[in-house]
Amino acid sequence: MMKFRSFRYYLKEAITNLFRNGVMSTVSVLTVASCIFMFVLMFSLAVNIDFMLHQLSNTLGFVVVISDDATTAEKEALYAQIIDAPHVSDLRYIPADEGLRNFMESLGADDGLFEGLGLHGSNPLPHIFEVRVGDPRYMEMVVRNIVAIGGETVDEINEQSELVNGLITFNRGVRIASVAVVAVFVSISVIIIINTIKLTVNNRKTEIGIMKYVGATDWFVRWPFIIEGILIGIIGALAADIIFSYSYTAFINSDFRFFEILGEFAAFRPSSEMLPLVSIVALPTGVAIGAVASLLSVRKYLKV
Amino acid sequence: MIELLGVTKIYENGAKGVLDLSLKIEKGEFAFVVGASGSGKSTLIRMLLKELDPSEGQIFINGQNLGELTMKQIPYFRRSLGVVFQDFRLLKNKTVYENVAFAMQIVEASSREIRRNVPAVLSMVGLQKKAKAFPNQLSGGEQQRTALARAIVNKPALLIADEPTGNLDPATAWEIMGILEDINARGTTVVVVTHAKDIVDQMQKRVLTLNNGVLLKDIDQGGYNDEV
Ligand SMILES: Nc1ncnc2c1ncn2[C@@H]1O[C@H](COP(=O)(O)OP(=O)(O)O)[C@@H](O)[C@H]1O
Ligand SMILES: [Mg+2]
Repeated sequence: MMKFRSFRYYLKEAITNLFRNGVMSTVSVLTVASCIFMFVLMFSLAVNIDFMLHQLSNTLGFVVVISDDATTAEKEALYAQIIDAPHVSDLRYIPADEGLRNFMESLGADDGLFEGLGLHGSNPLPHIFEVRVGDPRYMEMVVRNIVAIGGETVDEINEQSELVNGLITFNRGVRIASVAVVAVFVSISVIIIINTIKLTVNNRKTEIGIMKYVGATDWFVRWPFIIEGILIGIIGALAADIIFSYSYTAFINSDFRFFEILGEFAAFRPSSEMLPLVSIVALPTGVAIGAVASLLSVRKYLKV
Repeated sequence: MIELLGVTKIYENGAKGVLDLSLKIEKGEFAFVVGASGSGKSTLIRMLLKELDPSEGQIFINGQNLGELTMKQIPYFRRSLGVVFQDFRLLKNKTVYENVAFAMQIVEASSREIRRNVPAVLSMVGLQKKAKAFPNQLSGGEQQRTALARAIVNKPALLIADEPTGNLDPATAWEIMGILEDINARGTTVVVVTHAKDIVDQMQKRVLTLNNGVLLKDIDQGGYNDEV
């Protein structure tokens, strides 16, 4: 167990070192900050795409066109099967006349037009099922499933899921890219912090030797350096977090034309939800980068 | 307190540090180790601190066989010793007070103990007025007194000094020897490597003379060049 009085000593040493190597410390903090900024940028992109996919899955489904020849019993059996199928979150039967009424209403027409067109009794629309899928990634699977169980009863399926599929593919791409980007940037920051701390350690090689002569344990020598690394990580993460918070809020509130179009389909995750999420990710990442880097850099200097 | 049994140290490059050294220093003794440059004095000291391991033979300090110490135990073993070197080895970014306090922080002493003991040893070595000075603001003698204060603040049973006056003028060297004698009078065993012939002659303590790694003479009470 580390005693509090030792911790106070380690912290004081770490802060002194940070200021003594001001330039390298600043470089390290900036590197960590830009790495973590890139990381949270990728992260927020992925989170937003997920968020949008979920919204889309609530508005987008697909339509199963039922064969004109299907009997009521067949329709009821199909309804029961689809509603029990995996990943189907909602199912609605829309008979042809209801569909027509909806269509007319959406055109702003009243019953007068409806009758005026002489469509009564000769409805061109089919009976349909409207299917909603809980998770858009399973859309394809559900469609295939319904084709399989529907057989003759199903005439055709109108998928509107191209946008969804596009987003899913894009999201997968973003995830892979973020892993790659994050790996590269984390490595860069670890290397730069290692060098900062090595500089400190090198400057203090004789001091470390002296400490060990006086009877300091390896951990006693190590802790100030580890804490120095963690401090660099935390400061960098906080800087990234603050910059991200301002940028994200500004981005969300900006009035690009693109947003208006996009806004028809899905909204971005609001700042109030996004920012805490990003902080939760950024801080531990900073701490981890700093701790790993400092552990690596003091490893070999302790042999006295 | 210290016992060497047939200790030989051959360096990796073949240089002979010490050869078949056997000796015993009792608790409470004050012993000088003398000899020409390259005779093996520092090799002996570094083995006592377990900075080096003997190629052959065994070393006991306070009944502890140094050969049986694990890496993890070394720091704890060193805390039972006080060490002083020719080049002072102070932490240059710390004040006199902090350098001495450091030895106590290592052993996780409470800040109350630190506030009590540090000023006490500083006044014992005559440095109470320099507590806030940094090493580069001190004379050589003052730096060495700081190192001495650090060496004794945890009340070690054994104090080892490798040429503690090597960088000091004769008057200052005498001051330091006076403090070492003080420390010895309070019960600490003291081993001092030195070239200061005058001091050795005058102090009439035990003198161990090394020559080419071999113990040439061991005189109970004597001078630098005394015969057995
Ligand atoms: N690290 C080392 N590597 C190789 N040889 C060494 C080393 N240290 C000392 N020696 C050799 O061991 C012998 C004794 O040296 P040392 O113990 O330093 O003598 P002293 O302290 O009496 O001047 C010398 O011949 C020296 O060259
Ligand atoms: Mg020497």
